[in-house]
Amino acid sequence: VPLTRILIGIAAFARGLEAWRVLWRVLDPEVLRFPLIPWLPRLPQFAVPVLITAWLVLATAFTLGYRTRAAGTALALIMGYTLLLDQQSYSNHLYLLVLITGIIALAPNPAVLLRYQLSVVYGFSALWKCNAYYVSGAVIAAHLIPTLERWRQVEYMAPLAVTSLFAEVFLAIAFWTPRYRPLAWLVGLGLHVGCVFILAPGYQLQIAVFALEMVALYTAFGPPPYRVFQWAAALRLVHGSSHTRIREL
Amino acid sequence: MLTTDRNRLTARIYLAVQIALPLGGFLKGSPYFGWRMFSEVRIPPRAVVIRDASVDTVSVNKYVGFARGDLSYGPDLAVQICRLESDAVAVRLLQLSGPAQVTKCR
Repeated sequence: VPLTRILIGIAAFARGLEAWRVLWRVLDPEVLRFPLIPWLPRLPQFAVPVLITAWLVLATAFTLGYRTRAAGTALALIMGYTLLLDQQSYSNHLYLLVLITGIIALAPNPAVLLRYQLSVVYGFSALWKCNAYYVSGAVIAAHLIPTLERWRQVEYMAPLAVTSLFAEVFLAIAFWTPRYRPLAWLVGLGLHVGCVFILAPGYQLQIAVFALEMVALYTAFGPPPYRVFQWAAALRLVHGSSHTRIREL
Repeated sequence: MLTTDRNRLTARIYLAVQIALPLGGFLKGSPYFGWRMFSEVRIPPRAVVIRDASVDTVSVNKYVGFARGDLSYGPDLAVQICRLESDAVAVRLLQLSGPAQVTKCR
């Protein structure tokens, strides 16, 4: 859990920087409001720097393990306020951040809850993707970065979509089995690093924060298995040698 | 022993809530608290501002805090555009889901 806490603290700090931009706009008195909880008081726009400074200080304290319980609780409350303030400031990865921070700060046995959380997130994410529209690859194609434009074809996008769907189902289950845990690490890292590099220009920071959150949840099952790094190195070797071979040919 | 039982009960309650909440959202099609991530195309709406002498397609970023494709803006957005664009005659909102909505400003 200390490693989980450090990763979540870093994710919370990065998300705090993003929240500054979002909250500044959402709390602008000139823009339209879409409250998620109508009775939740709205801070004036000038309070945003104070709120975000508190967010960043608490995230740093949480990362360093300084008064974890108090810092984590206060951090979860600030992030929770941002989450519930307006439909425009809601995001699933912020919701996950609130839950994980709250669990680490307050739960007597956080590892069990964090493990459940991992399966719930991947399980429901996969369930939402079980539709013809996603499986056709249209969703990934729509969010693809411009440099991958030439791959935006159904023969590439549909297999990628199906693979990502199966990967999430696999990850929801595999971490619970020690035998498949190293492979789950590898699949999970591949999935999230892949998402950061190929998806949603303009949203990379948010996707990277989500990736960090999920990796933090992996650590609730124990430290990263050494075999993962051996496999990754082996894959790089194979990949590298095949490129050399192609060049030779 | 008592602490272990309480921890186990807490874990079960947490798991039950974490399954019930997204399941309810899934059945209702709600985008909140349900881990609905990258399962749909989310393109924010665009607005066509109709004036006496011109028609302009504009981004809604100027009128909302953070334009999102999964948010149903409804007639409030058109009213807001009419309020801020004093010379607008009408506003047509184009959203990915549903037909275009036209709101007269004056």
